[in-house]
Amino acid sequence: MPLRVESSDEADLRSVRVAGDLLLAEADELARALDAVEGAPRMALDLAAVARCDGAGAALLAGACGRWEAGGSVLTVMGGGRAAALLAAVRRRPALPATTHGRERSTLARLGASVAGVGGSLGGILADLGALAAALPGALARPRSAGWREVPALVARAGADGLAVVALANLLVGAIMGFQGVVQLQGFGATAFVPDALAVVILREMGPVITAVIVAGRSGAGFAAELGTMVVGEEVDALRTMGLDPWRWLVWPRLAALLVALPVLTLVGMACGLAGGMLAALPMTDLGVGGFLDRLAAASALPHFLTGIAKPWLFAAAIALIACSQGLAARGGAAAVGARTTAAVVQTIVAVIVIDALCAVTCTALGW
Amino acid sequence: MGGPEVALSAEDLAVGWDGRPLLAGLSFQVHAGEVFALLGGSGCGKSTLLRNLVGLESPLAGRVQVQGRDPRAWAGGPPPFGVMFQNGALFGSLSLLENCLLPLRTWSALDHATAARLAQAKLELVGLGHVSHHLPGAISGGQRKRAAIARALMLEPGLVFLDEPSAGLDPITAVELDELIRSLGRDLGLATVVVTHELPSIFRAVDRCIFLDRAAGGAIAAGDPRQLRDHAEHPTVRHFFNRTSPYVTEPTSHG
Repeated sequence: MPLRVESSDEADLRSVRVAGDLLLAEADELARALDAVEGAPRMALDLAAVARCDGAGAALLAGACGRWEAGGSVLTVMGGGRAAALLAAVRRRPALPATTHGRERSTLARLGASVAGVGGSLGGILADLGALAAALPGALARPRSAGWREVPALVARAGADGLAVVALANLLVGAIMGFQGVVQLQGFGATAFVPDALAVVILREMGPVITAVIVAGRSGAGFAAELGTMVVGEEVDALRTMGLDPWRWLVWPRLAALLVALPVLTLVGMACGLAGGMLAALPMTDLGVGGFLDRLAAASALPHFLTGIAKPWLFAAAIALIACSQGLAARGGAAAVGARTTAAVVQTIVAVIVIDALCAVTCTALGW
Repeated sequence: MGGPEVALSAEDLAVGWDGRPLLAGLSFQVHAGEVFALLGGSGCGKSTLLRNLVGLESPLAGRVQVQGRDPRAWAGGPPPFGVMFQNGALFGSLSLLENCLLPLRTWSALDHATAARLAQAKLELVGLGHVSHHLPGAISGGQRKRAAIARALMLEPGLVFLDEPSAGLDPITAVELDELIRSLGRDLGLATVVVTHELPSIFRAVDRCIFLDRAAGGAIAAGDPRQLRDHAEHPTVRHFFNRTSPYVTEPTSHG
């Protein structure tokens, strides 16, 4: 039955007659029709001709009644039936006491809060570093109070499972470096120095950094999501109430696993990087495999290798610490876990690059 | 005959996992305006039955009809029922109002302003009008359950399923929620199917119930819970309603 809302005035009484179906599908029409009726000192709402009414119709009627009454109207509802009963039921719901949760903040306030929070998050990293250090003596003195038994499985997850992608990525980066090296040095007739360039680039920089970035993406995201889900599911609280320190139980095993896995992965990455470089460079030069390896040895590859292989421990510590502290900081629900995982990946990758830059400057200054 | 409208019917239903029946031979009807409870001990298959009733799982045998149709027939269209999951299952990144708007935006062509007005009205109906812009993480567990009921009501369904609505709530909040459930049936003519363990809630809000038992592989009692409390013959039902344990309270004569 089509919806109709009619109002007529008689002296100071405004009669509003509503007829037809007041259902969810007609809610737009009903809302517009009721909004068009202004309040008057005395009003009568006649619902006798309403055919069908659901909760949506009753809610809109209740809203209109509330608006008219707030404007000073004295309102009478006429006509029995389901619509009047529903309207009465919706209107008599008691207002429950307001709770004292915080109000929604404006965009400007949120921006300000996030800027003000930068200092806090730096402080948080220091606090996490302190908590991590404080947890170590106990974890070593009482190994049963730490989750060391998890370490082999974590090493397998972070290391063995990531081997293929690390090998492939480094092989391709090495090949690109070898190819570009030949192309750039050809103009100077210096293709014999391609192995020297590869030794510096792959062993010192790209091998460790590419491997660490991949591990940050794989294991960093995995740690943050796993720990975040545990926090949201109250598993971390359960650990605490059983007297188990999450830093000992969850964070140190992950840190230890990365300290084992990342250097090994880096070794594989370096080997694959050099192999890729050689594969790309050999067909374009007349060095031959023996000549290439001789040049590599003569290019004082050992110092580059030692500098490169020292860095994964720093990267591993940064990745594990940042990812685990992001995970442990998750509060709320699935959205918080997602946000913390994203933050963990971004921060760990930035941390790897910053650490690498600091290492480059320090090693150059020290003449290594 | 013209009795109250049948909102949900199950005929000779068997439900379970991997083809193995957990419960079988279940037949019952739920009418408009009625609060119907699925009762039974932990692990008896209540939640599995609920998943079958709302079409998330397919029954091993028998038939479920929601307002005359198979609940799975609505996949891809607006469902004629609402569901409140045990922890509310509100989307954490959306405010309560946005959570309630979601089904309207998906299944109706209403203006945003009208839809928002209706969502606000539903939140007011469950007593949450003043926190409608809060995220679910910022409100209490009881409020989350009420918000989930509001969301379940957004499409004006004739039937709602509530999974453990008062579990884990303080007694006052639980009473408020029971009163809300009763008034939805009374005022909106809503049929309600409740899964619960809470005896006070059962006696306050439930009109009829079916008692499920894993060992028996089906229903062992059905009817008014107050009648079952006083007159049930099956020992498991008696223990449940009188809150006693067969392992602790019945002394053995030998030994």
